[in-house]
Amino acid sequence: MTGKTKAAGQKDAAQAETAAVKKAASKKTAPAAAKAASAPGSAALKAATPKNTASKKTTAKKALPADKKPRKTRSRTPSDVGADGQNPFRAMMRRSRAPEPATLVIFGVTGDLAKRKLLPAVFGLWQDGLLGSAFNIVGVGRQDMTDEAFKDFAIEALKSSKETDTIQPGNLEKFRDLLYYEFGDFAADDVYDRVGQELDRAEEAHGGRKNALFYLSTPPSLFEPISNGLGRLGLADESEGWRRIVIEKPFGHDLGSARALNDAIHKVWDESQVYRIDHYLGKETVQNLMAIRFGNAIFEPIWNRGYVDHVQITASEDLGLEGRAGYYEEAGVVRDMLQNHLMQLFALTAMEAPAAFDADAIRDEKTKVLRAVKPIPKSRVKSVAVRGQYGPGTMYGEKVTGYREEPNVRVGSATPTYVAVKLEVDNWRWQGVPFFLRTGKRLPKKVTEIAVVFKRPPLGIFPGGLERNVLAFRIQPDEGVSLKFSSKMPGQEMVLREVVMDFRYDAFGAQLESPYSRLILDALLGDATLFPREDEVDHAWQIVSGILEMWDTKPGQPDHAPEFPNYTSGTWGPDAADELIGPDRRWRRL
Amino acid sequence: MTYATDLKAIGPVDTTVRLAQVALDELWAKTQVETRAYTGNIVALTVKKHLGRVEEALAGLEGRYAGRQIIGVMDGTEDVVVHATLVPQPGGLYVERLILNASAEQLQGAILPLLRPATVNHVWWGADSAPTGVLMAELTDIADQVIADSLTLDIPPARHYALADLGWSRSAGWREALAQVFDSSDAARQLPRVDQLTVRYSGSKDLPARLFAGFIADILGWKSMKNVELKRSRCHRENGDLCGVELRGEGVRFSLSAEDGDLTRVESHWDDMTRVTEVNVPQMSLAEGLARVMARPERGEGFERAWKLAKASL
Repeated sequence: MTGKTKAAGQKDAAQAETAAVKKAASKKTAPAAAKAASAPGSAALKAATPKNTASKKTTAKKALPADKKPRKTRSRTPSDVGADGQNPFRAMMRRSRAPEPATLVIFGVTGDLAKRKLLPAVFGLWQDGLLGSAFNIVGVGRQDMTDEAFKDFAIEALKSSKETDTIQPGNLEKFRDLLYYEFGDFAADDVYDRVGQELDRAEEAHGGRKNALFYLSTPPSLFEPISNGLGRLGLADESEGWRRIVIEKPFGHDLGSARALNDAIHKVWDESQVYRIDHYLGKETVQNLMAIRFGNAIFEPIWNRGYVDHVQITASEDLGLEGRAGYYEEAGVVRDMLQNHLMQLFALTAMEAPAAFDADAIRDEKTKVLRAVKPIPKSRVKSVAVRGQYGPGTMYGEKVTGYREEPNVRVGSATPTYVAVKLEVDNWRWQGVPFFLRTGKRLPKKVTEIAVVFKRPPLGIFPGGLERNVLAFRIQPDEGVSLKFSSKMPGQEMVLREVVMDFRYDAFGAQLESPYSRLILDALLGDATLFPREDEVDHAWQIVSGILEMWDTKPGQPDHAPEFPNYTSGTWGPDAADELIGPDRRWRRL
Repeated sequence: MTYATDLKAIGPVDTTVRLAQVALDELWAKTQVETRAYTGNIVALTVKKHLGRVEEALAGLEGRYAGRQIIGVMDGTEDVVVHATLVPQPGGLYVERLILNASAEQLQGAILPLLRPATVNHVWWGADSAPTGVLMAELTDIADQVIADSLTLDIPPARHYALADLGWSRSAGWREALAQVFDSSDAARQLPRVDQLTVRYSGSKDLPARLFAGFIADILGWKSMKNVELKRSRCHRENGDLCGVELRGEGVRFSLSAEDGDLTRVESHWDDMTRVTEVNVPQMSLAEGLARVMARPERGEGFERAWKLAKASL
């Protein structure tokens, strides 16, 4: 038992101060009761159970499914409004539902992701009034820490993160009251038992059901032990409230391990409870890709092999390893970027129009197009994929080291930091239209873009060459959409020149929300639209499997790290990538 | 949410209706900013007395709602005077503002050619007097949305434009907070027992409170607001903002009361259940209220039904 003896003593003292809490605590086990009185201040009713005080539970009937549609108000009568347990006030709200009372349990809460991204995202949602009062956060880690120490940690994280919204006066102190911490060995039962007690306490405090979202912000090796631990203690069981699990990338190391992880997860969780997070899908402009494709009539008629020559998807990073050699040496660029982020962008670009904007309809279409990608067995890898590793160079006027000179990188490492791949889609819409995907580190700038390059006009009636139209979606930075087309130059001659019509997303004059806040809110709402499903992840692994098999070679084996490093830091990657895209095409200079 | 900017306004420069676009282009040239927010027009009609407040509200309105602001000051002279300004926005952006001083009749002929075409048009009636004459009629013809103090000015909802009310908009946080109380199904099951409603408001303006009460009464299926009490109250919120709401009945009481800052205390009591929580109800500036109605987040039918009950109670 990795309990908190000292803290529990203080909690007992606080517990004695409120009759209401005594009543609540009397219904619980001793550790749970101690925890119930562990709120900050420990001096007042308000403090005794953090923000909420419940004196007794009512005999609530089992709540209706969360996704049941609100009743039509026309059929209401004064006597029955709310009698069925449905909330009539939600009928006219912007979101058809707001999150029900819930506890967000973050495993790995002291890690970098939680500190820099998750806690600021949750704070922003709470400050905007989107999470309500009946909401708690339970941080879980292996580090021995009291609730108070964790609260200090979280508040400091919020103050120091660049992702934190402008903090309104007094709100940090109030947010602090929502925070709790548990710690222990993730392989043992104790820590999950105490998480369960936290859910009991939350139910006592705010009523409703014991809803919980478990966010696994941990190294991948802990996904399965945590999932199993939650399952062993019955915390995946939804009889007392919904239970969902959010799993960070990477989801598996290869196809086999991804399938094994899926199998392990599914022993505990139904697929509908699993939310595999890819933060690219939470970005405004990724969602805008769907808005522009399916919210306008002018694009779909030309979004096919009849008009499109090829598509380029680029996600370039200017950074190097930034101290992440341990992770990156194992992952490499294919697992880090191609299998997840780029495959998602590809799927959203190439998929058919979904029947509706809902989770299953969209994920069905994404899966269908991933399945239609021509397989890349080892024998095809050389003709459709290019790998690279950066060497020393200069960036922004400063010298930078090569990959192999980065701290903690293995001598003679064969880990690729650049990949370009040509995907061919065997379906009616895209037959013969290649999709070129490229991503890499230490490229000239940080930019993510999807460019749909159209065919040239069939006949040139004007002097000069014919140029291709390009519709480009900039995901980051300078989010927006541009269309390149030809226009007559002013003057007596009929000379055409390419011009760009540009829509910048910042013309809306709004700060973009963190993708994590959008995705966390969606997970709390039970909306899985922006989360890759099991079959999507599986197909994405299938597509890159041959590449990984070909490239994951050991020293001395054929094809091990050919000519690495093969591109200079600050350039657009190896020359072989230009050969990949073909003679009549070129990569966009971004 | 509005954000601060360190940029200074460019202008104003005096111009005419015909040369207003040229004047704006010259101002844009000074900014060296390429991005322009062609997202819509907002036409604010007001009088000199309220001009400062209208300008302040529009200054906080982000370009995503309207890239061009046209303020018509209706108690000017027969000669139309146009002042052109670029108003700074966060992120180095600007929105265009044209202020026209003229009579209402002159404004009609001046405003229409200044609207940036093919975008969304919002018309905000920012005056105390009820709109009369051809100016408002013309503008409502081209408006996608009319924003007004609808109960005072007796502007009923209409089919050819969306009617929005700032008082309604500014109670949005309270509607969300109230809804959260009943997200717990055990609390929702107590609603049939509620037969009395009290809404408390700050200052002297009770119309937002009346609309809010209309909303609750409608949701509860009440045919009138005879069981509704509106009470002036003291809280630190702005004139017209809500201070609290209480729903009660035999053995049941739900209350929300504004506390310090944005916090609101929520109490639920029924039978032997007591539940006390706190929830954030962010206060909304006039600009934020405008932004919210212009984003049109809610279904109009909810407002319209609340409006009818509130109007009938006057």
